[in-house]
Amino acid sequence: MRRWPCFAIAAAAITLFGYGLTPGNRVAAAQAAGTARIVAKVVLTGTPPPPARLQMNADPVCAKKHQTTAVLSQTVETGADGALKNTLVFVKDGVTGAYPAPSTPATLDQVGCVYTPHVFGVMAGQPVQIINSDPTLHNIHPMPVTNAGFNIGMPIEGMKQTRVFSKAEAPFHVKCDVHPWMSAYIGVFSHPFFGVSNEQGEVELKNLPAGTFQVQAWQEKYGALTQSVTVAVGETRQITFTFKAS
Amino acid sequence: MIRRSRVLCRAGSALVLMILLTPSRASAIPAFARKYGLSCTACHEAWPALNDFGRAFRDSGYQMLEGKDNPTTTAPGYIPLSIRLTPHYELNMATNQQTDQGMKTLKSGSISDIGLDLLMGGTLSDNVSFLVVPTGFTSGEGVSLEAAWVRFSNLGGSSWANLKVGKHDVDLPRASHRTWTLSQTGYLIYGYHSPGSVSVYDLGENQRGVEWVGHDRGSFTRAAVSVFNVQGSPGTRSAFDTPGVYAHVTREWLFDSSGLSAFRIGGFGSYATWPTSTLTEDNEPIPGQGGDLKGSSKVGFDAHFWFGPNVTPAHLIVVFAHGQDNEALIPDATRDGTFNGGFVELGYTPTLRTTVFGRYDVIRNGTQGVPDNPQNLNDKDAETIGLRHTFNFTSRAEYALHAEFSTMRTQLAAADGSDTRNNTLFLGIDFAF
Amino acid sequence: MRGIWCTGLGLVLLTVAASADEQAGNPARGKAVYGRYCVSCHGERGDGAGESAQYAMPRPRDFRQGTFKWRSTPTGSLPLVSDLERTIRDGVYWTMMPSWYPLSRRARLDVIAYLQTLSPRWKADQPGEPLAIPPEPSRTAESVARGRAIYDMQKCAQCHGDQGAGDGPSAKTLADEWGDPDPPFDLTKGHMKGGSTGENLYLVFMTGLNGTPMPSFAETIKPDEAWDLVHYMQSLGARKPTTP
Repeated sequence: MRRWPCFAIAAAAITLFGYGLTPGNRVAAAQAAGTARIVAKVVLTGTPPPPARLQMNADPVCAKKHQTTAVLSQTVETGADGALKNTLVFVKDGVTGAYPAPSTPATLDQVGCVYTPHVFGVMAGQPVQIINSDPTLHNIHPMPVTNAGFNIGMPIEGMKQTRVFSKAEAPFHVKCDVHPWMSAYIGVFSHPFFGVSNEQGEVELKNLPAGTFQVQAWQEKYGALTQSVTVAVGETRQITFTFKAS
Repeated sequence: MIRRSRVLCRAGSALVLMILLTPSRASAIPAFARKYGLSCTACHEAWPALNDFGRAFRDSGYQMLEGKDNPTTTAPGYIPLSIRLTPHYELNMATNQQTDQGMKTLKSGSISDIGLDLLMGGTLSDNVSFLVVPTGFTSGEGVSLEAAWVRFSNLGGSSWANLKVGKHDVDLPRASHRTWTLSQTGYLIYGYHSPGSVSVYDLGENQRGVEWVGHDRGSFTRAAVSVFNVQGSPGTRSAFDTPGVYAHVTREWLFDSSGLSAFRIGGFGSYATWPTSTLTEDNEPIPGQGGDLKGSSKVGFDAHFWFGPNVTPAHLIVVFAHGQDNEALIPDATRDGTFNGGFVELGYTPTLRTTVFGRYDVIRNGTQGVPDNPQNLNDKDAETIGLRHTFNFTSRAEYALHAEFSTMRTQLAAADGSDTRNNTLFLGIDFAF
Repeated sequence: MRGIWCTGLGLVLLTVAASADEQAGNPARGKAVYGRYCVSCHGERGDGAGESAQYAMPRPRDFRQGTFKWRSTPTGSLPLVSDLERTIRDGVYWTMMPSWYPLSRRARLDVIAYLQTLSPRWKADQPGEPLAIPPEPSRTAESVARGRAIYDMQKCAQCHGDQGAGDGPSAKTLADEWGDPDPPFDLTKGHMKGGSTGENLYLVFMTGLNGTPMPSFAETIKPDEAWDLVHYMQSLGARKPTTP
């Protein structure tokens, strides 16, 4: 009987360690981890808009950081075979039960007068660490509807700010008024089943319990697509979201 | 009897003159609403009567004092001009009028040949404002300037130093220019004089002169003093040869109460001279050559009560004054004439659109200047009731149905010594844009 | 006649004695206040789209988001009732928002209670904790000079310009959360928008103006530095005569 607390501590430590390994903008480990997986592929058909070059002349500090390379807009970034990057894929409906938020912060860096990452999800209550890696003034200005917004001046290089969005909310815009080309989107979720498509347009939602879920892909320019997906215990389902470039 | 009929004749002609000179309806000024984007209800308890916000705006020299008053801050197309007119049907009845056929009741009624008010008012620069009101425009009549003044506000940065120069309305307990009633049998105390007095000085008449106004922030405590040449005086040879002065001090309190929400008390007084002699030519008076000035005075108080919420109030006004006319103003008088009078007015505005109102005016003579005159000669009682319903109001225009009935009894005023009664029914559309 | 005076006096005494209302505003009465004074700009629905809104720049406040500029509370949070009361009472200089000082405080509290029904945020959130403002140190030339150094360090000039005239490199692209142009304030105008007292200025950059590009600098400016910056801003305004 004496060993019980030891097991508990060990289990807790493993769980925490597990959280620690999980980047904030990827799928976090679930408390009661399921075994089902949904692998989504996001593609864009039609001709994507030509990549727009960001004009940073208004702030010499920004322009100086990109003297050699052009910085392109991240609004629509495609890879091979129309793979669409920076699409937030998440379970919109069908998740039951409570999932605690990880204490590991998600990170939003302001570097070279660009937000990195451009799109990401966090869990409600999860800290978001905002970093200014530029020797210029950024104001971090998220514009949520359900959560309280804020607008903080970050004039000093290396400055960090940690904030929390406490309520689940559909993706909202983050802007820097000083540099109008800077743009990021954050989705806040009550569960860990979300992710952002990579260069291959792929997102993996893992550790899902068995069940039927409404899965949504949200893209800042093309809006949202929703599919109903049923997975059994241990099953992996491949789905595809196809956006049309108009 | 001869003396009495002469007195009556003078009283009658004074009355006629008074009615002729009674200023036309004046001011609800949509140009201000346009300039500041506010609807008329922001400044008017029920237009054209001002509320506290409108009073403070007026006392500030038609300014909000938020950096948007200077005419250069308005769009170039903005013109500080508004128009108000009131097409209406008016029925008048006067009893006990002497005719060749005996004592008769005279009636008249028509769609009136109304005039209109051109209300031009605004700022010329920061802290310099103006109002010019040409009025009249009826057939057979000319146009007169009811008001024409320039005001220098906040002199030296103080709200206690505002100077108005020109023809202006004095700061009445209840502005007859900005009230709900339109018939002209009301506010009798403003223009009343002891029977027989030659003076036609009328508080309700705009005066040519200078006015100083001082007020605190929000205009809760305020004072106004006008010095002027009495309007209508036949003695006008120079700017102040028939001088008059009028002063009014008020203080208002707002209460955190849904019963009595506001209360204002004020005191006012006037002293106005009038010539009692004139140079003549062939026994005819030479215009502008009056002399031997004698005074008439009035002193009184006003109290305003607002019951219920500030935005839909029942507004009760009580005004009382004591008046005196120097005996020299009254032919055949052997002593000064005195009288008391005033009015009680109640207006209830249950919604922003509708106001019902009523007023009781009373005049009671104290000492008759002519000792033989009966004490109650020319005592008056008038009752007015009415309704205004504004169909629509915006920051651009407003139009309202106006229905009003008023009746006035004048004691012993008929040629045969009986009382006379004047009834007026007024039904029309009042609009301004 | 005497009866009327007596009745009037009696009514006064009766009503003054009878009613002392609760401190909090009453939204039903506030709606009536709103209908009389506010609706022409802020609109029937509180959406800031009244008949005069199209001629107002900046636009009248849209009350549906619970976003308010002039606060004593931290960035992003709801304002205190006393913050809203001050804005209504004093107005916003250089804008169409007049001072509603002549209204009773009761009317202002009532209309605030009504405004609080127009955004769900007032049910979901609490107003933030108001910022503590230390007493103002004396306004010396040294303080003004230190304030200028803070102005540079915080990079205020990026929007407000090197001389505070609102002509910084980012000035032209600034927009508010509703997408309307929202140029940075010309600090040399003399009269500040949210009130010209030292405390008013202190709060502007220490809490930010919600809904606008103006952020909070509470994370990077210490309280004593904040007063230096206030003194510098006041010295900018003093260069032009103040309109009373």
